[in-house]
Amino acid sequence: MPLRSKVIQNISSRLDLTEDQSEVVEYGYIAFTQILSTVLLVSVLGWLSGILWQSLVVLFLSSILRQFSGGAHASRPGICLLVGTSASLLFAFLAKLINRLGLSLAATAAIAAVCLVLSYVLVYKKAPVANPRKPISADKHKRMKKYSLITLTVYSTVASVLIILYGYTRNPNFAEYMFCILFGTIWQIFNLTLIGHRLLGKLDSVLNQILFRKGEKV
Amino acid sequence: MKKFSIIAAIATLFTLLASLMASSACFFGWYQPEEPKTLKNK
Repeated sequence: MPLRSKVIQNISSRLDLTEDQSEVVEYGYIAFTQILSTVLLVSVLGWLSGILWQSLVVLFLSSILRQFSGGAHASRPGICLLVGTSASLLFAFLAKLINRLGLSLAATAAIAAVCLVLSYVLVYKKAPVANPRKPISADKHKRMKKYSLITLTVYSTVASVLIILYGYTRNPNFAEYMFCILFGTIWQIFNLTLIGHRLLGKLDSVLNQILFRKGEKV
Repeated sequence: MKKFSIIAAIATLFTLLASLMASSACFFGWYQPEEPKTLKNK
């Protein structure tokens, strides 16, 4: 019996939960393990690569925006862990790399402006993107779009403040974290698009074949 | 009794997380499990 079933069965029998209550606890258990495993793996690999905080910024910002805007999904928790961790590390590394190029303040601000305007347009047009396993009602659709736009506005404000601070101090850390915010946002926005769905779908099926060809789950 | 309280606290934490996920557009990560019937349309 898988660990998840054992834990849920144990909790349900001790607290005398109904079937519906057990289902809710199990849903929360999946959320807990998914958050914990992703944060732990990104933290360890990020720390080993010297990009701990940058990768955590990318992970949390893309995940928070994802909570309201939805998007493409992996078919298994193992693939989700792999894709989420790889993307967070890759974009944190890219932010560090771009920052090392020593872009001018004007170029940094221009890249940020283009990325953020594009994000607003795509969130306004596409968000929230529903999933067959998580349909969104018309009322919730409105609410989620509003929250997505508010989240994006908070990110844009923080990114603008970081650009201003970079302009004043020339401290490269400000630009680096600004790029982390930008990449975390762009990565999530990409998940909303048709091309994002297709690419992630292909990646998902390739990973499924490589990792689960014997029908085993990680 | 103490063990019962710990299990109850864990169950409460999982229930809160489940409600939080149900009130959003999707799960925290890139995997969306089937939503429990009682949490649909939250």
